[in-house]
Amino acid sequence: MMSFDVLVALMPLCLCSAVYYGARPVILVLAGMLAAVLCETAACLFMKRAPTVADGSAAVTGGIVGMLLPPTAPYWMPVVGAAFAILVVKMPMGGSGRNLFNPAAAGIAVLTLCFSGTMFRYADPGQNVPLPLTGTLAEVITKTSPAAQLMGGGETLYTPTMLLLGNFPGPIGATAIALLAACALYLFSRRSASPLITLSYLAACAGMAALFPRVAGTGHSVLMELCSGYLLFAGVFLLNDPVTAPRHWLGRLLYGALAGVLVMLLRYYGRFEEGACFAVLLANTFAPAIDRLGWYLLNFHRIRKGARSG
Amino acid sequence: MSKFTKRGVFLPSLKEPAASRPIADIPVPAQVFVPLLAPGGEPCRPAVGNYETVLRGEPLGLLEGSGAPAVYAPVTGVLSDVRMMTHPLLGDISCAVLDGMAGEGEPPEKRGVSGLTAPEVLAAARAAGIIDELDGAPLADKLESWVDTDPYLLGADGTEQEPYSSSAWAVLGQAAPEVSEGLRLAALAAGAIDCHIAVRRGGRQRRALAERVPGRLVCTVRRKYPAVPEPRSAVLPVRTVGVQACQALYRACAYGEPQSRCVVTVAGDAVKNPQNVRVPVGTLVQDLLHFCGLSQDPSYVILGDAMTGTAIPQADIAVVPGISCILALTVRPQPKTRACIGCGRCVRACHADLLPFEIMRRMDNMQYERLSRLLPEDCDGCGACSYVCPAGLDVAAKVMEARDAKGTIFLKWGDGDDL
Amino acid sequence: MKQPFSKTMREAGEAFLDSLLMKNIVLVQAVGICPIIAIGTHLKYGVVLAICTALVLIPASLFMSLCGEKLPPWLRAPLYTVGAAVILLAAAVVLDQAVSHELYAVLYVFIPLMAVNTLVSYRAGGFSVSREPVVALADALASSLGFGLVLCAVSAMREAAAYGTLWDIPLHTSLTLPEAALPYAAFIMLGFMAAFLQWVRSLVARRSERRRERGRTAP
Repeated sequence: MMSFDVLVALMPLCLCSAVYYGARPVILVLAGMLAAVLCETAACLFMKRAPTVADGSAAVTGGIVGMLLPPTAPYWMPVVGAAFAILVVKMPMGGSGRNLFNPAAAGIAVLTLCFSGTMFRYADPGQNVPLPLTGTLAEVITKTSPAAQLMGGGETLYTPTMLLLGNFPGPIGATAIALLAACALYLFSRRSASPLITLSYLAACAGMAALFPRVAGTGHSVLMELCSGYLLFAGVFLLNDPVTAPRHWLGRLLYGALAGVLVMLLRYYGRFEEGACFAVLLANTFAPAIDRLGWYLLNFHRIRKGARSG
Repeated sequence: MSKFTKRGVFLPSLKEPAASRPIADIPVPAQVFVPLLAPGGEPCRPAVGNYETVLRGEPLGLLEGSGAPAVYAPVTGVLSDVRMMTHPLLGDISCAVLDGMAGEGEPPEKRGVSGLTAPEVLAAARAAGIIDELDGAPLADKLESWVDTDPYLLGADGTEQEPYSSSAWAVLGQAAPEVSEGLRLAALAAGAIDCHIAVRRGGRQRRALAERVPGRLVCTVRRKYPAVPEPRSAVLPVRTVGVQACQALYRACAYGEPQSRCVVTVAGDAVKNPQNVRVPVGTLVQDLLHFCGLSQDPSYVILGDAMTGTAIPQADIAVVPGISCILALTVRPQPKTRACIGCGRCVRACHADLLPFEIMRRMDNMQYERLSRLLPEDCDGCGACSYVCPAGLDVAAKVMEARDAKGTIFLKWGDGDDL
Repeated sequence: MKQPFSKTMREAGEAFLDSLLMKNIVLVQAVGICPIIAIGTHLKYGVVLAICTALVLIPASLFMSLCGEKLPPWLRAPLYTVGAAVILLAAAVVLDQAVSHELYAVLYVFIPLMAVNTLVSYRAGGFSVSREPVVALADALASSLGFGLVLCAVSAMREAAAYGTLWDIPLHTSLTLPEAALPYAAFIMLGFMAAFLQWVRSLVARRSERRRERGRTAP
């Protein structure tokens, strides 16, 4: 089961963030999952259908929404994001398997638009973020994330080792780059994610970063762009959602490349330091067309022959 | 062709113990139901009156129009009745009911086959009413339609790709020289460049054949299902005929014998002695299952193999050429179904390079307008997409529904709203 | 070809109901979405825009139903577009001078743009030609009303959510979402309203189906 593979892959990332920030990120992720599952059950009951919670896709959606929040986020934020993802994006389109947009990306996009101040207020790792239910968490030390530094055009402070270990401010589950890569390999080996999508996406991102660097040095620029924000997380978990991604190999290649170019354009010209969720949503809109296009390109002669004879 | 080799699925092999047992001959059944249907599908009338005796190999059915013999008695017996029956492969047909008894016709006389010309072989195939067990089509028509086409190779399909069936292996093991000679005659009649017996890559089947059929090339196919026979060093396309049809063609040419028997694999977890059985055409499935013994009451009887077969409601179905496997299963291998989430495994499995999930989605949503652009008619019904589907959906059934509907459902669908 | 007056009136009534509710021009026929997305952020803007649409659509429809068939098809679109532009320019001047300069300062770009709205070309250039003037008038009225209803509903909701006001009167809500004024929020609202309307339509269809069934079996 694909959803359960994804849940398994999310677990080490969640535990890793617990090492850096204490228990709060785990609670945020669990809150997102719980909200998503409850919303899906309620929506199924409202639509008079058999509940589809058992396939695990709702838990994955809620979990991903929680993973992309900052550790300082208030507890209602994953709930709002997951509720939006399930009740507005997923269920009205027909539920599991019929949604056009990735629900988790849409939930994060809405949170980014509505609460951009909170969404990019990343805590410095290595401190125990307190757990009050309400309050402003003013005493938490926050720092500018690498993505924000890239956007500001200043010098970056983070070394490659820090980036690989996730020892830099960022979303809960998206910073530990080495761990993310291991999760990606696990998903590839379980065939729950397509390496075609992820690799073409990363190649497109790396190409854009090399051609139009925002910091000095091509290699440094590529490394910084790929490791900052939740670019890699989006490439592994959001783009590989089987419902919204193309199915044909050529379509998958084109889809990943399109998403990569969109991510970098949104970083260069967008309002926010990280726009991967918007890029995923934009790529989702093109996914069915790209899927068909790739297949038509490869089978053009057969279709023409069929049209002539029939 | 090489593009196809990457696709497909690996299937488990459930052929043992049937594959390693010799072919059993069923004793003459009490009653056989012979379809009065010429190989081309034309209806026939019985050649003898009720309660008259026919010997094995004598004409039983005459063509309605010309009166030429088209159906031959598979066993010696007394014609007791002609009645309408429903057959899952042939539809509603009239069957001649023969009360079988022991006894043979005259032993046929052997002739040389080396001097035969292509028209003579075709005439012999037509007269013997040989049906190719691969697709249930008349062998003579098949071979004739290939004459004067682009160069190709002819292959006798001994691959047995599906999980249970091993009848072609059994026939090859017993009568490889006859099959090989029949294949040569078929290639002569159909104007093929060369001919091969196609078996799986590796395995003892191939080693045994390489010794027993010297000179007759054995081409190998890959192990993924469904495999396209592919000779090792040729770029020509391969067309296939059945192994049993090749043997029948040889016997028709050498002995003038009509095709009246077929070898059927009987397997499944409800069968006590899974084996290959040589049965007269028209034997009922229930007699065949009774012969092999049932260890328990089967929940499902499947005509054909696990991938492409159809479940039949009753076991009073006559065995005809084209059926090479019968399964009796206690539980239906069917998981719980969920909605399609578009994982794309069916696209990877489809050897015809289609988009099965997309065809299924459009069939479910009744979007028939541009369905033909997705080429459902290229599906050959191998069932690989249903096999790999993690949601347990019967994708192949939907695709075949689209294929068979060809033009009849591609109407513009609307709710009467003039928007 | 002349048809009896009662039949014309029934046709006009059907056209009115259809265009207003059952086949709402925005929610079912998906025409004229652009102004709703772009400027439906305050109830005031919505009302002004709805009035402008009615001002343009009703004369254009009447005109096209009266003499549309006598004109060559290539001339129809330029004629009613130019006519609509003239009316809208006059309306803009009235808005600026007599009503409110602030409103004019916001809407001066959008009001002339209504002349090339698909709404006008679709109803006036498509439906009204070859219809009786009464039917065309009923359809134009209902179309403008239906468009205005949806526009005002969306504008009111977005104003309340984004700025916490309604017709510039504060509502004293604790939470405001400035992002409701962004285009995507209007798309989501329209989507849910369209789904609701489809649900109502399916209910009505089922009920009329049941009534027909009963009518068939009862006598």
